[in-house]
Amino acid sequence: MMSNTSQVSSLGPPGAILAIGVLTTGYTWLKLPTGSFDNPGPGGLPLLVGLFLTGLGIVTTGEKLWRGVLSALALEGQDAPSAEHISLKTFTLVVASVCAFAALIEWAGFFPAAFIQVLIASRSASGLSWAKSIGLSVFGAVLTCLLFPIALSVSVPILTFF
Amino acid sequence: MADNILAGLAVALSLKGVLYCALGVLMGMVVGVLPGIGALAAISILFPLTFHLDPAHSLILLAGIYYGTTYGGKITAILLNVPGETDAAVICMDGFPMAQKGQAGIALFLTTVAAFAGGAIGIILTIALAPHISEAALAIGSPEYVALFVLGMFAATTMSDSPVSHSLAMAAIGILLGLVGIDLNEGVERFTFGFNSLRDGISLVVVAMGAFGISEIVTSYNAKPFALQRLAVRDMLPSTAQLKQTIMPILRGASIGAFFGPLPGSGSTISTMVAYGVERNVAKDKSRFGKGAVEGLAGPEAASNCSNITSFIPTLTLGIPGSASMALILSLLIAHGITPGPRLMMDHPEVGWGLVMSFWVGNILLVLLNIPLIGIWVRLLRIPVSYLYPVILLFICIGTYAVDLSKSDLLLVVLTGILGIVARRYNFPLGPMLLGFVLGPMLEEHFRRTLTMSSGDFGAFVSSGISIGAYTAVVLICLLPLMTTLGRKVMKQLLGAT
Repeated sequence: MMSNTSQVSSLGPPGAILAIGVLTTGYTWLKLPTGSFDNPGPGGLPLLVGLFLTGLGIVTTGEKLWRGVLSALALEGQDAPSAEHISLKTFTLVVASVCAFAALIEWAGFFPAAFIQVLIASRSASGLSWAKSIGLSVFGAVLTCLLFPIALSVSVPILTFF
Repeated sequence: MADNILAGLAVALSLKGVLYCALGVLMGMVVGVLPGIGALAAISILFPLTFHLDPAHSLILLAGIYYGTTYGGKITAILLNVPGETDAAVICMDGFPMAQKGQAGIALFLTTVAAFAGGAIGIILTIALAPHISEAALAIGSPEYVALFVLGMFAATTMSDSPVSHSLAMAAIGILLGLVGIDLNEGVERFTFGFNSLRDGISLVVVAMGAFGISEIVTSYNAKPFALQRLAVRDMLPSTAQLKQTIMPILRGASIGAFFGPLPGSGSTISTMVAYGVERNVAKDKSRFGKGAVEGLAGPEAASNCSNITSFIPTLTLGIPGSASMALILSLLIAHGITPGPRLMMDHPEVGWGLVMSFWVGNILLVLLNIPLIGIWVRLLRIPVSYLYPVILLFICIGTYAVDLSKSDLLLVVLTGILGIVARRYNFPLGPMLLGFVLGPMLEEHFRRTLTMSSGDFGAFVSSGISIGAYTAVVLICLLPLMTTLGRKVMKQLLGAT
């Protein structure tokens, strides 16, 4: 017998499609001029896409409900969450490293931003010492400095303090 | 036409052209060889490097990255049994057993030869067919484009193993993301929610980098390094008998790749699978397959590379990408102010024909880089990803920022990264989303033009043979899951019979 959690999980993806469809349709209908058939407005295609997603969501949710809980499981795990393990620590550090880069790039320049970004991201790896992390950060910052601002003439200041 | 081809040849064979092609292939292989990183993620990560060059050379560089990453993935598939893409999974079936038998070098050599031969056939076909398709495409109007775009997006549902409903939903979400920003016809803001940074729309780089790059890094960050045997050039030479065994499979594979390559959405995945099935069926001793049969390696690889090359035909001549990778290449042209379509090969021969002629350079470079440098690729696979991924993430950051020098793009890349992670977690494919993102604005333009010109008559969408053919293909694609199920049953019976 399938648990309530599994039921919710099985209905999750079609429910998400339905929710996005309803939200898009509602937003387009209320906020955008849809125009007429002979002169479609900026909301015309988004409205059609929203309705398509809503229809798709209704059909797939209905199909899940119709097949029942056990047969939903028997679909060879098609909709089941994949087995890919996503580490919360890795996710947090990757996001933090990108945010740090965004915060530093204009204030401190490319080199410090690149150094800090690699340093934060590298802390996600298990078994990497601080010394190795710092070495990797220097290597990454120097490599990308040579490639982007120097070789490809990307207009970012390497250092803003000097 | 001869003048145009010569103009293209001059670009491809210039020192700059050869260098950028070599750089693209080399960088593509370096990133493509990393376990878990598929060709699309690799192209997305390296995409911004192409922005700061003129159109012809940026396209040559990106195409080099494309087939470098694709081939790099095959090395990982053979040596580690880790396919980055679906077509590489077919290569694993006989490539990895060969590696286990101590014939990894031979498997890699035969793969290189098959890729070269398949690619050469693909290039000849592209040179022969592209001008004729371009001429014919001049007659295509907005209703036909709408039909072909719809076909392209439905065909994208065949690109992954995910449920069709998930693929269609992702294509639709891609269209919506592509429509974010100010509508150019009426100046109305769409889906900006008051954020000024969204008024100009979302950059393709942001979507590709976030959805593919960030999500790939987060999901495979702590992968362990692999233990690998050392490989030298002398280990790569096959016997004469093995070489002879590969000739017919290469020709059959290339023919299959040439057929499926230009079809939207089918690409190398279907052609490699079909090529493998054909080789297995024509073989006298089917029991060798799955245990290191060279035909099972050569046929699919020739099919894969031939279809990779011929898939450029619809992208260049019709402006309709058959896959997410082609969508990136298409968007590069648009970013340079070049409209892909029937007039591309005539109006910009140095770009269109320069690219086609650079395929020769790239194809030869693949051989030159693969065989002598095999030891380097194996050594690269030994480097723990914990050293590589922080630097790749830095490439993503600077690549995203460099497009518009905008910090908000970096925040958007995080958001699209989260979208990519959630999508991967729940088996929603990202390829159709990217295709929808690129095709969405073009679909809207032709959709509105068709209705305006026909005074709101929806019959205009099915008023020509091309449109009817495209919508018929859409119906057939919708029936594809049924046909796939039947096909699997037949394959199971065939496998059971041996």
